[in-house]
Amino acid sequence: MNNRLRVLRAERGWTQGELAERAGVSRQTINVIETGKYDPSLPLAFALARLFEARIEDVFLPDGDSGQGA
Amino acid sequence: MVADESMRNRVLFRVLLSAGTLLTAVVLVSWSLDTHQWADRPRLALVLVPVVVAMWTIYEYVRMVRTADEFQRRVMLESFAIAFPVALLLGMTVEYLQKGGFMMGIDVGRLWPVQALVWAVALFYAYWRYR
Repeated sequence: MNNRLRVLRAERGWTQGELAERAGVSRQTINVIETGKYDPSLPLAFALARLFEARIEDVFLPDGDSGQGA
Repeated sequence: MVADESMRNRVLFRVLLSAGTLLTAVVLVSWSLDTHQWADRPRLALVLVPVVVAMWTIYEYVRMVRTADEFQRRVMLESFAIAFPVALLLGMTVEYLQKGGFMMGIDVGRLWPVQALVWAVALFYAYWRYR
């Protein structure tokens, strides 16, 4: 699963630590999600999407979809 | 429970503190039992010291698991999935080597520090895989 977490975070000027604090997870967890090494659970994915005021499908994308057209 | 980073760091510090205390207690009590003669009651109290400290370590570890987020719990689960069968294999190997007449100087009951070390290595490896 791909995601636009890094882009959305950069748009808001948040560090990984700030996003982690808002989401209630560790900075390492945000890092592994951003790098695609770990796919979050559905509740965490929804929570992250909510933080960016976006729909979950605008943040997390199926494999092979880079999100360029989203 | 949603725990912030500083709370997780405090919990991790207490786990490390209790584990360090446990290691110190084990070494000191073993040394004391080997080098001193103790009456029954003081000896019983002495041998229970590491047990009590181990209970404290377990309590702190459970707190750490409860404050961990989903990724950290996954890493812990993977470390157990590696360490548990490896620790069993280690104990089984030594036992069967002894049945065959090899490694007779090793007490199987004293393997637990090695098994704990296996778990620590497995935990490190599980985290390293996601780097």
